[in-house]
Amino acid sequence: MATIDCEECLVLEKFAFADMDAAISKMAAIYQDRVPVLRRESARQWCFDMKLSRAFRPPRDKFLEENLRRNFDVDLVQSCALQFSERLGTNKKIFYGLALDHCYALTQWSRWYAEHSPDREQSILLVHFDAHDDLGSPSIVPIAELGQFRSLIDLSVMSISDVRSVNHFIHRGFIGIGSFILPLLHTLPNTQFIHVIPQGNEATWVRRQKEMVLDMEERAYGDYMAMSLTTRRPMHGEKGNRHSVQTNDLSFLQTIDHYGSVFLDIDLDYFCNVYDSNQPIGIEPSPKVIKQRMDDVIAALHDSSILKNVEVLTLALSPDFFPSSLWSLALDFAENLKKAVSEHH
Amino acid sequence: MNSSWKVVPDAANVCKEPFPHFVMANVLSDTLADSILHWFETDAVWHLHTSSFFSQYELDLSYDDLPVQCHEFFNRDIYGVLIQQMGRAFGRDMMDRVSVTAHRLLPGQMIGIHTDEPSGDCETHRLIIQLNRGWTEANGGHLVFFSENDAEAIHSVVSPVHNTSIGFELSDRSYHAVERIFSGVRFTIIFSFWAARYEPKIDLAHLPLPNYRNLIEYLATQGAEDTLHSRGTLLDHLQGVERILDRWGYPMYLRMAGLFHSIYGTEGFPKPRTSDRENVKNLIGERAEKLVDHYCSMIRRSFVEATISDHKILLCRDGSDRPVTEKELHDLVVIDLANIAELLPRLADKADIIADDCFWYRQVRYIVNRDARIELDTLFGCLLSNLENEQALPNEAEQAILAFLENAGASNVVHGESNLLSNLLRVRDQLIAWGSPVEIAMAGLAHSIYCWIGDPTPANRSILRIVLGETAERLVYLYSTLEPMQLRAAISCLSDVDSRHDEKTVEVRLKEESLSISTNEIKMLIWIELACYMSLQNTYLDFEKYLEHFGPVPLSWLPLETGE
Repeated sequence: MATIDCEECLVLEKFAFADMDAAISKMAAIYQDRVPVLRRESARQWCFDMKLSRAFRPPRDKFLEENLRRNFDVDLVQSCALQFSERLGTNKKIFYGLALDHCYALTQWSRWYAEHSPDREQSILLVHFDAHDDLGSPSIVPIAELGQFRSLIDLSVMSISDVRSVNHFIHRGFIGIGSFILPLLHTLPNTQFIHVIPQGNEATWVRRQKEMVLDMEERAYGDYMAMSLTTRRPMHGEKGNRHSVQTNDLSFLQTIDHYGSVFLDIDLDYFCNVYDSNQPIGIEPSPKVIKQRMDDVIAALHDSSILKNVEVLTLALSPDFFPSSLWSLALDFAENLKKAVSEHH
Repeated sequence: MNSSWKVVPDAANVCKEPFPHFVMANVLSDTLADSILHWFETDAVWHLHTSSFFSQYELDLSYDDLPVQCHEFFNRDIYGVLIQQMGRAFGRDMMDRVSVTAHRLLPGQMIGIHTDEPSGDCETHRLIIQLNRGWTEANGGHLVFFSENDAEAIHSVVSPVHNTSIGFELSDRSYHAVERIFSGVRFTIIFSFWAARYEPKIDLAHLPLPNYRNLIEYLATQGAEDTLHSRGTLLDHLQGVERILDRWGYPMYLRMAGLFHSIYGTEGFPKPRTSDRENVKNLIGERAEKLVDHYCSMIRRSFVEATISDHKILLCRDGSDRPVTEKELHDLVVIDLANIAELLPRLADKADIIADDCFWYRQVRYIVNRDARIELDTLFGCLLSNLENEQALPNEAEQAILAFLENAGASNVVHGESNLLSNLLRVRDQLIAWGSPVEIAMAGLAHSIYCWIGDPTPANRSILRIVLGETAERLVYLYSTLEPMQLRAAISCLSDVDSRHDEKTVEVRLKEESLSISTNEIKMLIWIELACYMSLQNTYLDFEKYLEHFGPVPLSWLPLETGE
């Protein structure tokens, strides 16, 4: 496979920072899922390589490297850009994407956006199965044109309607595995967002009306070094007509009465999240238990109106969250889901 | 010494390459050689000595209780004679000091490549006498001389022929080894000698030249500043040659001679700047002036021939012959190579000149020191490689450095709000807009290289000098290594100097060396810094606040636009 460089090199002027720690901290905040590693310094400049955190730190999932090689013939660095796309349904209208990293869901949404050219008022239902809400802010700022964003680092622009630019921003680390949803929500503010969390997890919010306006106002793009990004999260506000729900109850899906476009998005860590670096490593459930959870989700989707309205289906294997030893189970689940979606189209 | 045998030849029989050495056959009388060998084979008490690169049996011959049959050779009178002969052969004054031992190598034993480079109190010369019985080539155990630390770089092979002596000078390039013994026993007597004036690497290198300001002023008044020379002025070239000699660690008199090397006119530039030798002597000293006089007087062809053939007579431009000492000849070689090193990067497309100079360098490579060899090897390696690959050589430094930056991926490196290449071009454009000399603009274009591509190692610096030229590379190096606080201190120290000819220097301690930096260089660095600052669009630091980090700077040092 072609190697895509996901590790940017960066030269910084020393005079702009109090010290190197400040520079590292700023770069770590801007580059998502990356670790700044000093390559070399002179009296006046630092040169950093923004290393992929997955490749830089030893994976928590000890079988990850082996399973990456066995299943996809890639190493840790190459795995950063791994994604598979196809069109589903009789008329091939459904966009389908399977990736290792969840941020590539935005790639499929971008494809849909480019084909449908929706107006700003269009309402989408985004059903997001995930152990995390993934609502972090990417390192981009919106510009005047709908669906366009500028990098905090340079003058480059990403347009939701331009798949290449979306992939480019993901490869560079401006959009990460925890921050790929906001560009969509910002572009289509009437998107209804349902976050389905694993059973047993406590929903921190149940239902929000007209909420989650993003803190992504225009900024002078030259001041990236002075910006603080680490605490940027969606803010509550009055803009838009969003209806957002967080639930751990699969039966909630049956209550949905949305008949427009549905984006179904599933992170496999919804079924098992034992390697999450924010938590102690948990006990991996047996494959039988995982399989049962997967079957339950497909059954719940069948019982809802979601499948027949799905226009984009995205899945993420989420290395170092979902155990790589269960990937074969996950791939079977993906096939079953594809079949279930195709049956309705 | 018994007239029937002689173990050290005359100086004329000492070869220069790969390092000074000789080989001489039938050195001892047959009777004496046989007596010593018999003792080695029978009663001598050998001790095994093993290290990382050799394994051999050794016998200490420094004791007085040696067998009677050996006294004829192993006695203090003979040692005194050997010291004198070795001194004459190698052209060195020797200390009254010698050590002697013997080695026995058995089948399977060998000695790996090593130099025995002298350091501190170590010996400087070696004399070996080989003894064995009925040795054939198939027995192995050949003494091998190498031109560098590489098993492939065999220069010559000396068979272990019975009753042969080998002498050589120890240095950082005296690479030698002994091939594995396949059969038989190889005996050698090893004498070690100490040159009296062995000069360890001393700290006198890199000190600022005394009266540097006066020297430059003098050269300027002789028109060096107004004379064009290889895309710059003659003064630039002369200063460059001096800096190269300094960088190579040569002493002050040679640097002085390098700075003035063409003052009386040369074969290529016959017009003398001055003929007042007394005045030049007063400025640079008698020793340096004498070298300058030789350099300016000689016909280069005779110089080359004198060095290669070791006939120490120079044919002068006025038709006269001029004898010179070997030391003077070597000094002239060093000056000439520094001259080439300064000039050649700007003549990178002149294949014939490069080939001639490279041929010349290979003949005299053994004369220059290690730092010079590293740099010159790199220089010729790069230039020849470009020619051999038939790459289109950029005619201008700018094209060369742009190609270099692009190939290295500068457009993929993020810097400020764009990529590094765009930023570097903006810095260059800004410097040009301020009317900077081309060297500063080039330095601006390359200023990040030692942060981004590689450390300023001697090899990397050599390559960049080839591309950028001496002055610009030095600015890049200073920009990369001089801490802002040091720059501020240097500005403070020099800020009372305010005109082109009122040059002053300040000594700055960098990580690994002390450098003498001139007022003009400090000014150039400020310009580059300011251009870098200006190149960052939408900068977030107030300009006046930024200027504060220089401390008080004379307004005339700033580019007009920023000074206003």
